[in-house]
Amino acid sequence: MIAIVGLLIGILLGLVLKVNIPDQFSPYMSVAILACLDSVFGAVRATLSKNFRADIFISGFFGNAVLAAGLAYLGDKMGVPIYLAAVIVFGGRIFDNFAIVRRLLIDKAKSH
Amino acid sequence: MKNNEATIFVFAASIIIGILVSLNINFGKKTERIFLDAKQYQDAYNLKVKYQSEIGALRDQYNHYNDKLNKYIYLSKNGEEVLQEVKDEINRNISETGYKDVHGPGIKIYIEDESNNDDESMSAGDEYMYRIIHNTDIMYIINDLRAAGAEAIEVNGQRVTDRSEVYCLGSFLGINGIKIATPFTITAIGNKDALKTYMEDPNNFLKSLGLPHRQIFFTVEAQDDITIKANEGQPKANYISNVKK
Repeated sequence: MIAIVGLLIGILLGLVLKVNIPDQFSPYMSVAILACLDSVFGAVRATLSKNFRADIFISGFFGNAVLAAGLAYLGDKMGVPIYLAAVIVFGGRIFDNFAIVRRLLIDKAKSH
Repeated sequence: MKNNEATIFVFAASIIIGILVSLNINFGKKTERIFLDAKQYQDAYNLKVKYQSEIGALRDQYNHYNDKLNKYIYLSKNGEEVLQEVKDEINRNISETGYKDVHGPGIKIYIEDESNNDDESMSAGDEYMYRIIHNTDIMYIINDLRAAGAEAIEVNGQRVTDRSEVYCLGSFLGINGIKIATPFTITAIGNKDALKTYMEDPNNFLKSLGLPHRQIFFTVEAQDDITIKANEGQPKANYISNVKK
């Protein structure tokens, strides 16, 4: 819940601030966003299963984003679509995490 | 407590993602999709390549001027060195514009018509007009040489500069106000192989001189070292002056 509220606030902030990033960075940003989303899903899951660690979350959040963007950039330079690797891995993990979050939430709801 | 901490982090991270998403997705303006056919794509691609090479050239130019500026700043402690540098550059400009002797690899084109031939078949008329070399012929050759990247051109000892005319003076040609006559030797400094290939290309002008109705004799010879003399005299600048920016 808190994640969705944060997301909305962030989107509104971004719209109000109207900071434009250059078009050529756009594809890298998309991959970076995917990496960030993965981290957030991971954090939600960890919170629910009560093994959240701030250091791991922060390092993963920024590290994954930078690595994904870097890989996408490298792939672009080499003409190999390496960003696909990031998309598949993070995409898969987001769904995995979401599945686990779902189960945990449903279990929680049932136990009440 | 731990749960709280996680909530705060997730909240902050969500805000960051939200900002990134809104930066990346333009809600306001719709990106217009244009579908290109193969030719349009090719044209657009060529345009892109052209602009890229222009950007590269401009960047080189920028680096060149930046180096120069840095050199001046670095040398500015020693006035004489700066002066020498400026003098070198002036000399280089003078030789590039044609007012100094230069040498380098290049080609020598020799062309000769039959205007000295007293043969009866060379009676006056259209045929005769075809079979002599005109100022326009020389102009075409000079133009082709420039297109092929010649850096210095000379016709019978007359350096062709940006102010040179190639004029018809009856049976002579006038270049730089000097009368010259057949046979003509045109020398050009540049990439000798490129120049030779370009001039001997059947699609370029020189080959057309050898066609049956013209029958003008010509040879093209690549040489490793050609010296081209300076244009005598100085460019006049009585009327032009710099535009102040």
